[in-house]
Amino acid sequence: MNREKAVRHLFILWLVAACFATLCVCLQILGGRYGGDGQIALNWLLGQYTPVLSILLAAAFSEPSKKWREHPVNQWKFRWSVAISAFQIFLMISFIIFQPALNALGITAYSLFESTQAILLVLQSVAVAAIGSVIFDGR
Amino acid sequence: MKARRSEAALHAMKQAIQDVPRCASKHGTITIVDGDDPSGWTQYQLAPPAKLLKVLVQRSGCFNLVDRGSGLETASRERAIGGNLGLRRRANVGQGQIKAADYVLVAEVQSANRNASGNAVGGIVGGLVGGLLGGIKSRKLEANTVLSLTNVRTAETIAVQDGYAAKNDIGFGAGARFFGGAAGTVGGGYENTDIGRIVTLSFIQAYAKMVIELKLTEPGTKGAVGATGSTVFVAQAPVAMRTVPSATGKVIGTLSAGSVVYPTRRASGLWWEVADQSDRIGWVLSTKLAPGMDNASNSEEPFLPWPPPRPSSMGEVTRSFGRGALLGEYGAQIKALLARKGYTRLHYFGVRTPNGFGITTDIERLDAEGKPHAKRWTLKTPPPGGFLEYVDQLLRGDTGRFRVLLFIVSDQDPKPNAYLAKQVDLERWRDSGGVVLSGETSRRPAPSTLKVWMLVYEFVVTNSKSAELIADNDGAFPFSLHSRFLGFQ
Repeated sequence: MNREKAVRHLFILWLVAACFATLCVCLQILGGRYGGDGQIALNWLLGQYTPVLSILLAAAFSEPSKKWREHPVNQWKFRWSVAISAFQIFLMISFIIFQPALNALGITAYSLFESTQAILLVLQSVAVAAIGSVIFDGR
Repeated sequence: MKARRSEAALHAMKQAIQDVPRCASKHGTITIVDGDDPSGWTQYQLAPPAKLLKVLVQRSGCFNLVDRGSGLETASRERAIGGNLGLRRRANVGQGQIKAADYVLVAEVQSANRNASGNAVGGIVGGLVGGLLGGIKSRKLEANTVLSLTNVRTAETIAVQDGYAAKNDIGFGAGARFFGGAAGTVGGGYENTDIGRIVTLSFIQAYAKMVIELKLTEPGTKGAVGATGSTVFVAQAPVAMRTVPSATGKVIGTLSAGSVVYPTRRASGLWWEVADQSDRIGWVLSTKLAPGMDNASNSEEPFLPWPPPRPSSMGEVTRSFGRGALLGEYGAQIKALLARKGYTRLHYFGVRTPNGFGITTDIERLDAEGKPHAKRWTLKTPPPGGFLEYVDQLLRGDTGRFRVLLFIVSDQDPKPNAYLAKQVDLERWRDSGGVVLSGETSRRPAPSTLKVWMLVYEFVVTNSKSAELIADNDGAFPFSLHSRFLGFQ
């Protein structure tokens, strides 16, 4: 797999995940789940994917040299990027989808947002670094 | 293996001293004498059991011990010295100082059967095998003991109880809990021989039965652990809550040390039926419980904010209660009314007026029509019943309605202020209120101008963050709905 294709795959992965998560949260806000505090949920969500999606967006719209595009991607870096991305996306969507179940355990959506903020931020930093290493490798 | 078994039995012994029934107050003085037939204990090289019984009685705290044995002999010698040789001036030993015993406890060992099966192979075969066989044989060890309590003044024997213990009671099984660790201070073979431990266990059982027969440890009776009139008790150590009053009953759950429980006033021996804070009802060993915070039932309750925060609705309900001479009578009426409607846990408060008090209910979930929800006391989101309900909760969140009733009994109008009650206020009331009306407040005379108000605090959870008070003009259920539910006129 060449570098251009690898970046495209990562971009699609994050775009689909971001759209799905945003749709879920928007439906929740419209449904009234967060009352007048929908902003808190939206802030939490945007913080999860905006940095990664931004860097991928920049890579997608940039015009690298033909040599870079057709050069085979470093498989180790690519797989690591996909794995860490998948893990972060899984957690992000799980925290949205499983809210009612967690509520039954006494964990409200807001306490969930607060308590997961730090760990997801760390994961996001790792994901950005991993994806960055794919994007900027050889440029 | 034998050594480990003995170690375990000794450990059980030390642990089980905690299980000797205890009384909150003394019921008189007692002297302990050994039974007429000493062969019961001498054949096994055990010391007379009076010394062991002294430790048990002292542990239980039910009686004051008076010494009529070697202690009295020594005391008599001291007195003789005072009489014949003369004591120095101001020595406080003199006539008319010896306390008479109210009761005499006679301790007898009826039989201590070391060889019920006639099998003494373990003693013959040495080594490990002998140890094992000895272990098998010793399962047959058993002892029957009898305790009789006589009232000195009337010479009436007021209680006779027997105890029985066998080897398996000091093994690894549940029966080991009765073993008295105090035997360690007794000596005389009660601590370091199997038969001694069995006799000890048997005496503890007989003594426990006697104390229970005399109603010294029943909840809510004089002299019992519950004699304080406590309606709340605290687990002193981790204790299993069981479906039946037996150590073999199925365990409902384990109460951790410090857990608060509420006796239902049903008792079976040392077992009390209690409700825990999750409304589970089961049987626990009363010896593991101690009176809770209402032990100080004469202390004042915490105060409600005065004037109280603005409720969703309120009304005067004085006419629904009978006139009482004391404030406590109003408290009892409200408690009885609420108990009929399923409110088992109430929280009592003082109010900042000379004559009055407040009672709040627990936070209660309502259904859409304002009636108690099927999961009335479950404050967390009820588990989803299916996929569609799950999706509904995912999108719309928990939109439950909750209610807290506040009764104010006072000769002054509460006149709530403009401050809207918050969820945290209700939680504070729930956590800080007294569990009973204090004795001082209860005994206070009720003025003729005394009135009873009911304030209803309705909350709705419109999102997943916190509950918000529903104001009276903002969709709260009418006051009449709540008063109808309680059966007010």
